[in-house]
Amino acid sequence: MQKKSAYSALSLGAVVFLAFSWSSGFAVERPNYDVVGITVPALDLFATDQSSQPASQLDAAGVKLPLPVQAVSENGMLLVKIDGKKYWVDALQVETNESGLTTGTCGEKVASAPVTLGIRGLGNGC
Amino acid sequence: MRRNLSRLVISGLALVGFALSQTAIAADKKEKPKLPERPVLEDFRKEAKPGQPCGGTGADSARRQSIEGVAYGVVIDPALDIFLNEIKDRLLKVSPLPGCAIKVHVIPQEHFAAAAAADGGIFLPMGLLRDLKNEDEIAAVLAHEVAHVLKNHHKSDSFLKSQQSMLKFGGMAMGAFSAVQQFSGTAPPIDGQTSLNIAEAVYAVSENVIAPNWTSGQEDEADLLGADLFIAAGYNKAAIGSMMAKLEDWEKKIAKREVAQEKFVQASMQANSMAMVGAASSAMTAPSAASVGGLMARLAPSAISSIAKSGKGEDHRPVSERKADVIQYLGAFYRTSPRPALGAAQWDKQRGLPVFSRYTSASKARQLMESGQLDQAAKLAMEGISGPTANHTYTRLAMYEVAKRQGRPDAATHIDAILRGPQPPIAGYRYAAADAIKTGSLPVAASFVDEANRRYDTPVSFIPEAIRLYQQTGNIEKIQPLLARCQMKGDKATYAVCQSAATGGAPVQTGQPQQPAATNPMQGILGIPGGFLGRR
Repeated sequence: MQKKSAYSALSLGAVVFLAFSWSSGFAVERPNYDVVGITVPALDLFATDQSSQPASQLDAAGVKLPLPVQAVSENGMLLVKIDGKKYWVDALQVETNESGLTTGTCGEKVASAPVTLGIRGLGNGC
Repeated sequence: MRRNLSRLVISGLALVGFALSQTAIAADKKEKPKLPERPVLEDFRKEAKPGQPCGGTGADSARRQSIEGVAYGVVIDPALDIFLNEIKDRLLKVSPLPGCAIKVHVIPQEHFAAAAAADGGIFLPMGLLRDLKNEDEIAAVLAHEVAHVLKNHHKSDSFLKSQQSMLKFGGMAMGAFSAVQQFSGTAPPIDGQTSLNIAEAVYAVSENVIAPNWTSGQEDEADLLGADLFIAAGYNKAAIGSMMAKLEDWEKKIAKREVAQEKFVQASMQANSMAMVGAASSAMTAPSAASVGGLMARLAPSAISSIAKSGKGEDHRPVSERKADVIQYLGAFYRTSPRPALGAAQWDKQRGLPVFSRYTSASKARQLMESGQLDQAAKLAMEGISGPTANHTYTRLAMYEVAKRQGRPDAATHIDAILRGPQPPIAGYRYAAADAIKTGSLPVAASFVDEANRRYDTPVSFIPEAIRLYQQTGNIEKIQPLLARCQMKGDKATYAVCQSAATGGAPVQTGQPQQPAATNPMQGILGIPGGFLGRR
């Protein structure tokens, strides 16, 4: 009997978790970067990452930055916490400090001496 | 000697003249666009007539890339080609000119600037692809380039005007190089290295100005029309923002590099001008020679600096500004557009293709080689030519360079492998001929030149070098027809270089392959104008 109620509690937990996941748009990754700027005068706040219409708007000047990004949905919406509440925001309306570039093989260095061999572009002159 | 000095003066003055003309052109171009009243695609739909010519001619861009450009050809990977061209097709389908002949190619370069060619070829460099996270970001880049082709920007007066300016600069750069080479040929105190320094300096500058010069207006139009096509094709607008943010990062990254490059160019010019003063003075103790050198020393760095600046910023709005305008545009017309899931899974699968890791290995190998770590470089270069990229031009060239630097006798086999490939680039023949000359196999060297000319119908950009090689190999009878072709097909500047080569002004440096820049620093990239950054 005790076992059964334990299973029920687990199932209920799973349902709650799934429900939460659904409402939070199946966040696929937990990033470690922040929203550091807002690109529009009024920031749209969405209840879910699937909403087409914002639930409310916030004057960009009134938003305290930076805002840690809590999650990114599969469709690129960002979950942030504003005044203790979670909202989804459109990635186009904000700027983040996410580093977009990999280190790659093309650096900032310029040859300190003329290159005397090779074909330009093959690793040089990025 | 007097003739050489005159050339030098003319080159210096041309340099200054060009700088001034560029500043004037740049002043014309600065303008912040107004937000249109409706999506630009709506107007384009009204004005476009079915079957009207677009920028896509269906010509073989890949072949052209093998001849010109920096001549490694394109990356041949059928799966990747199909994937990218399907994205392009999806964008083209929602345009008013769905039949426009556009083909996407991947090029091995590690930079970030996509480009659209005059014949409808779109080139995506490996460096850019590596940093794009999903299909939607790729679509954002392609939409912009497709818009350039659809709007036939290559045919516009402003583009032709800017190309004309670049041609003038090309002539100037080649003139300067040719003059310096001639000068050094008659004044032994200037060694080959000094001459090469000047060539490098000139080329470093040309690198900043050659890669395309779309006008700001054309870039803005491509940004907005591209955004319309992108949304109409059902992609997620968030990717436009994230892709442009990466370009912004890249722009900052290369800005640092350009500062260093500019200093390098100025220092090189200064040093080489001073060397010329000394050389000229000691060669003929002529006061005019010293004054020519002094003139170059005083004028060239500032002129070059102006040229470099004119090519990078005054006529191109920074990505940050363009991004802000695109976001405003998307906010105005597409605020509630659907946000489908970003196509990451498909692209991750593509990025897992061996071609990416092998090309990374090849690039890193060459970097290590430059820093003298030859053993490590060789290991990576071997990785580059393992598996499906075994006979790719880029990976083989990297292996060849490393092997050559190591002094390995098998170096030439890598060039052989390239030449056996389906579309060996001119660069392969260039290397092969230089190697053959080094070993004294002059008929073999001549046969490589013949083969290159046969395969690619004697491209004008290769003629000066072919002339020099024929001179080295004693095939004098082949030079006159080449000169005639150069005069007929090339511009004045190219012809001047062909003549210079024919009169022995610039000898082939045996033991080292000639740099393409020495042939014509402009030729390769002209006609492949503008990418997102509008430059590298």
